[in-house]
Amino acid sequence: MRTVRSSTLPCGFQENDLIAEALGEAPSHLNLRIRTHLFSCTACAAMLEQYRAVCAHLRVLANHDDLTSGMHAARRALDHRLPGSSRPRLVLEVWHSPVGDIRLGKTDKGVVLAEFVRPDGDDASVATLHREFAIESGGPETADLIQTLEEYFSGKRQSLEWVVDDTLMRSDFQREVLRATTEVPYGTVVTYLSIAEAIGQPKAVRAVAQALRHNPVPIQIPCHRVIGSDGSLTGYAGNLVDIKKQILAVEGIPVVETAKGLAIPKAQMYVGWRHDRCFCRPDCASLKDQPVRDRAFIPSRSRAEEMGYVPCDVCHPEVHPL
Amino acid sequence: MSAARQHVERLPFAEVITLHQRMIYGYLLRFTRNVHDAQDLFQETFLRAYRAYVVLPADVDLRAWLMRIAVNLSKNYVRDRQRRNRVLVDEEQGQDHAHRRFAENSSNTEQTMISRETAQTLLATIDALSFRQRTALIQRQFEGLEYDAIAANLECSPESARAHVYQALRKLRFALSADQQQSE
Repeated sequence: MRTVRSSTLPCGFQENDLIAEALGEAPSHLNLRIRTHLFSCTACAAMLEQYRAVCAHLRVLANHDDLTSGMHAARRALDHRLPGSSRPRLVLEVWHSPVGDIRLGKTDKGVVLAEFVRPDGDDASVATLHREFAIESGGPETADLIQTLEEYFSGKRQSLEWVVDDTLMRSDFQREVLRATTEVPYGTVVTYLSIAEAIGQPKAVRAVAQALRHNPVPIQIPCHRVIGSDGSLTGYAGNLVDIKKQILAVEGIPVVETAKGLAIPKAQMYVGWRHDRCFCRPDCASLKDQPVRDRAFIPSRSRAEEMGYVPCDVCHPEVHPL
Repeated sequence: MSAARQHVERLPFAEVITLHQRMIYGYLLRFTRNVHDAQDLFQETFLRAYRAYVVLPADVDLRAWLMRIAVNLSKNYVRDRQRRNRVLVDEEQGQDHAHRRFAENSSNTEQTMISRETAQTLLATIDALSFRQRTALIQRQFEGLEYDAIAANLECSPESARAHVYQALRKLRFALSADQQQSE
């Protein structure tokens, strides 16, 4: 393209003044001068018309563009890429725990996730997280979670005392189940049935098991302390029953291999009354009157006494220990 | 004034986007004349802005600040495109491209009252303008920004901003009159 630089026209008039006039930017004194000049100069009159035409064409082009649909599509895509603007922030970190890798997730509201990373590398949950959250990688924010977990696994700490963000819990029923599970004391186990009874839905045992299977914050919410009525460990997050065994071992709960798989030796454990805060031998006659929701299995006398439970005055476990 | 600015400063970023997205997208679409590139640059503009937003001083004019980011990105865009196309595109292909792009979204021609040839010439000429002239022209004639704002975006004086617009208009007029002479 040739450059068009001459700004003084043959008639002595400035081309820029004509442009200013066409744009409507000419100050009033110039405006008057231009009008007078145009009477005598047809070249400038023609040129001004051309500039007016260019401006008019540009206005048409401006209105021609469809801004809305393209902009909204770009905005939606942007919202998915922007951390924090529409999706909550989630700090993720994987910690190599003594029982396997744990994926820790913390939002501004609290710990939202502490799942065991599956050995089969099923990362579907991470894809889901990316849809729901703006992901950031861990650092100081997850360091304190790791420290409490280290203390837990080394037996220095019985409760993680995390603030939990329940965003990933699937239903109010699950929240209710997990809340009831939180009340199972350290170093004891209860059955799925007792949780079902505790939330007033004794027939929902299987639903309780499902709710615990999808516990987003295991260990903090001690679903490992919930077992089958026959004492078998049944499962943990589906197929991670071996991890359940190791976590129970951290809390001093024995697990034995039986014909039906891993189980706790119920017959060799004391039975606690959670409401009355006392404990019996497993063969105590008073147990036939015990509501299931009240029943907890305690591995040792010392554990029961640590919890502040008193010996039963029917079977006297302090006189006749197991 | 300062209270109003502090209020703006505390706006969630999503609302900052909502306030200014139309202007930014309009500029980028007119600059690139390509929906996909405009959308890419639009996202990039706000992603960059987001990173700086938290540490932005309270008295920054958000509109000008966002526009400056968009302008800088569009400058890189021109450079990258030139690098990509250096070997491939000659003048005629460029005009073909402009023609095709206008035809793509000219569904409402009866409302526009402008011949396809004229639109083609104008768009091709705008495409061929220097970065500063093109940006100044688009911001002035399409987005209606004041010369002060354009000057801030281009980091030049308002007089230069005005000169860029005028120079661009000269080239457009020249291109159109050359077209008319040809057809006569």
